[in-house]
Amino acid sequence: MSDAEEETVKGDGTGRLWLAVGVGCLICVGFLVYAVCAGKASLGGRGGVLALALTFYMLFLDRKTETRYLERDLPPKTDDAIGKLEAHHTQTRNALVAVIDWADKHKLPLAVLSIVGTIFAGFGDLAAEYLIAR
Amino acid sequence: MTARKTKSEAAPAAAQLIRDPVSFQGPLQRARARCTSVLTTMATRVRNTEARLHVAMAEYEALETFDELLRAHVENASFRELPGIRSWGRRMAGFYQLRAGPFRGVFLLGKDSKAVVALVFSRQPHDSKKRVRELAAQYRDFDKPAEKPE
Repeated sequence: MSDAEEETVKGDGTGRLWLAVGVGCLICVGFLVYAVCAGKASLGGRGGVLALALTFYMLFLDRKTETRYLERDLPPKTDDAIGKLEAHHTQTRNALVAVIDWADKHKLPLAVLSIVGTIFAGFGDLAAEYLIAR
Repeated sequence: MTARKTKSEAAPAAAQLIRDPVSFQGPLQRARARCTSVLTTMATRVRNTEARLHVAMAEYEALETFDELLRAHVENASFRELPGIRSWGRRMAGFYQLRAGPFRGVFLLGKDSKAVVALVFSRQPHDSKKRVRELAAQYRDFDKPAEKPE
């Protein structure tokens, strides 16, 4: 791998996604704690619902790299028709590969927050009821 | 010591820019070639392609911005408007920097602001003050009437 590739591997752009996952988990736990402290078990699941709403926001956290890349006219390696065709093909393929790569990276944080949010939305009130009763 | 001068650009009613071939023009061309290469080479792996393209696009756009700003400053002879460089808390007299994204160009301005030497072009992390001083010593008389190149 070249130095340029090594360097870019360190920052893959999923920081914002995992930050959203962290915030979502905090909201879930926060509402559970609030429900227990307030003695209202019904509030225990609200955090999960908000976390699920946050997963929809995560869908829009991509960097639009492919869009910017495809909107560029990059210099072909040779000036003839074959060179231009090759440049066009390379640009299209690289954009497609980038879309696939981002979709792969996007899946895990989205799944984690969806699962956590769903569990808290469905069972948060029961957990709060149990903790209040203890 | 004879100042190293290669390509001098006389913009109409503007500053005369002298680019140091080793510390400015060379790194600038290499940076441009590097990000163009990433953007125009077919990706063979899916993993981290988005990240590589993202960084290369950011650098490509930063280099375009750098070129535009440099052209504008040469045309308007407005290098004095650029921020200066500090060393140990003190401003280095005559030196100005132009930043775009992760790139920085360091310029040495002549007394009349018409002659400018593009001394160093670097990418983050910038660690070029010593190099700037070494090069500035070689361009001691750059703003005097030009000597015939060897």
